Amino acid sequence: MENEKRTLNRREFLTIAAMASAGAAVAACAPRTAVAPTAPAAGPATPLPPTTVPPTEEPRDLTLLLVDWNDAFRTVLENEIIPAFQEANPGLTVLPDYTDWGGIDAKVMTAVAGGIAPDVFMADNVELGPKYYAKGITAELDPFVAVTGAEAILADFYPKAIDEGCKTPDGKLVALPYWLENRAFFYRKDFMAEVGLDPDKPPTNWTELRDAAIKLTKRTDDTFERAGFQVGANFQNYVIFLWQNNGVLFNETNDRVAWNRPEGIEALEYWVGIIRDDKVGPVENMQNVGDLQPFAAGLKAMAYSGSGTLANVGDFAPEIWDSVGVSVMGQKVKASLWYANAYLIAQSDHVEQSWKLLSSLVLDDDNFLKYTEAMQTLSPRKSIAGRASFMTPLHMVMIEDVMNAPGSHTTPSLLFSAEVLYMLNDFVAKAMYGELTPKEALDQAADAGNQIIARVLSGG
Amino acid sequence: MESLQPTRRRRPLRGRVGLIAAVFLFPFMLRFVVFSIGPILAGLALSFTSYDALSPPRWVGIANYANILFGTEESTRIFWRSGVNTIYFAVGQVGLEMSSGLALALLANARLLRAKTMWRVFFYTPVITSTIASALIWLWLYNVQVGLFNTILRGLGLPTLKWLLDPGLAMPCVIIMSTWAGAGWSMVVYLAGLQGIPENLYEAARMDGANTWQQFWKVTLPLLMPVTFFIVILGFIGSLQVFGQVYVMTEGGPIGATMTITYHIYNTAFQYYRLGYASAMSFLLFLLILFFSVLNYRFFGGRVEY
Repeated sequence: MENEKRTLNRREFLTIAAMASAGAAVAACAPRTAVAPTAPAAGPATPLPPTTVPPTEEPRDLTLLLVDWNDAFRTVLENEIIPAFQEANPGLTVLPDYTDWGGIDAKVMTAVAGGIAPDVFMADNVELGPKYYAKGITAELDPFVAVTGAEAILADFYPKAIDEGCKTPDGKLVALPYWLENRAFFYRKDFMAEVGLDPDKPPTNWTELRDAAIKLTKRTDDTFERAGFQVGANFQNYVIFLWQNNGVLFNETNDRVAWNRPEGIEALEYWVGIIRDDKVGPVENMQNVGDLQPFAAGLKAMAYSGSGTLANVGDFAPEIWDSVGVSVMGQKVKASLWYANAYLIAQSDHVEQSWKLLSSLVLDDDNFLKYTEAMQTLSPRKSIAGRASFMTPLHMVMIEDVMNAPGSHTTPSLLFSAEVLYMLNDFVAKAMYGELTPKEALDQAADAGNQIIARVLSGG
Repeated sequence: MESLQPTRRRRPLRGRVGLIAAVFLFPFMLRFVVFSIGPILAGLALSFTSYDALSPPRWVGIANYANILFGTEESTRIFWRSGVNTIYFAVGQVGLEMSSGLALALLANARLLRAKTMWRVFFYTPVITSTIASALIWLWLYNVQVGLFNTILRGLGLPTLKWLLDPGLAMPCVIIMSTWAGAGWSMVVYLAGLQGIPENLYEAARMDGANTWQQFWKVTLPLLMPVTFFIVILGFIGSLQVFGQVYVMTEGGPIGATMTITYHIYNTAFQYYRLGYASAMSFLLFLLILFFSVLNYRFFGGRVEY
């Protein structure tokens, strides 16, 4: 009988094993305290006093997460930039990590949740920058600028890239831009000459755009041999029309949407009208032909596009380079869209070292030029843009004309920007596909957008 | 008392065997609980919170569930629409995969077919090909300008189609691609079923004057019911969780025509940073899968014939 009591049967074992494992699981899955200090749900972290910088810490590793990179830059970074930085900063070891835009959100989110946020990382100023700063994840950079005397170098940046792209609504610098993703009006001079239009006089307003697009279109029913004008049905292209018509996305206090005001509806009605009624281009997005984007492949004569299109033409259709024109168009005002991809510094107990690394990447002229050359990006720094060897007059139009156009903006860096604007995508597409009228689409999008804004601003 | 001696000698042996079994089972149990049960329970807990991964979770009770089921948010509307799309996909893909799998199995089992093994490998290869790789290939096949399908249509003098860019065609295109990727698995399962049907049943049917079609309808199909039931259950469960092909081929478009529940959950979690809300949707999806599993069992369970 005593032996019976000491025997462990299968059911008992499984019960004990499950309980022990569950206990281990609960302990392992317990939420960790984030490295960042506790911050108000919808407010920024308390900034450091301008004259105080944390004392230099003992030697450590600095993690650098890159999302805009290629093999050429990786070679330069690992063979030149990082070794030089480590030599100048004994005890600091830079650990680069590489990802892509498809994985950056999840990677940074899980790293932050796990308390191992990368010390310096690339991000999108609209989707990630404001959210991370507001949650106390990233550091304000103004104290470092003040202490290290970097104001002179900051003056080299295009003002909008800093003021609109990298500052909070209340003026705090929270990022440094490294790449301008500018949209400009692209047109094919050869196609314009072919249909009797002056190739050196691209459309300057919506009336001229419509007239030119109709002449440039080649189609049979709904099958397009060449679209006169075509851009994807998304919010990025909608805001170009919106701003050209002097419309705004959000109201003056940034707590309600404003795209369904008359100028916003007029903008979408115009765009939908030239596509659905005048049939200057297909409703759906056009697809690449092998390596050629639709513009380079001659499938569209006019479009809003970015520097990637110039690169595509340069790499795969150099024979048409001289036929490509770039300008900034407008209706009530010249306007286009731009984005500033930027570096952020994670809030930590060694932000000074992180700032040193960030400075070496963006504020150091030689290092930043190396990045710009390797990536062939539009530089947010005027001196670097002027020195980069690959820059052509078309590239300079994309930077200078876009950044200087009075109506050109980036989408506002607000806590709710990403969610609201991606939602707007769906409604713009519905208007383009004819599921809703432009006014219905923008009104319904406004209702949905205002709900999102109210939830986010209330901490939900 | 003497009769107890053999029992006392067996108990220690059973105890040692039990302990050895426990030692071998423990690593799997630990892994299962830590990496499967644990995250599931953590997700369930998160579903009652508002959580963006950037700050600690905030308890909201059943607000997420209430919002999903009865709310007026755009995300709620998308959830229900994606639910309809997901069921559309599941019904289409399971039905098509089942019938094509059976057809392939009958072909691969045919007496007259040479090199059976080679054909079976050929049909099964898509199953073991990465979903992402397959989706990328089919993305090119469906390309409006240079895709193979439109090239064939042009060659035949027929109008081209917009395939993945057409809201009405996009989901059938994804279903066809998924069927191509999964039919080989159904084929293998049906093959096992076919080879388990006794030959004497066919002989008896032939002696009674049954033709090929009658043999298939009266002998083959009823005896494949258990296999069919198995394929439908697993196929449905898998289809309700479709993600990879949507992510690569359509991203839920155009205009939400291929937005599935799992893709909406992914967007909500990793694009909008609403992990608590996304967890709640995940558990509702789990309940949906459970519901259809029970429904399928009740429907097919009664028609299993031996």
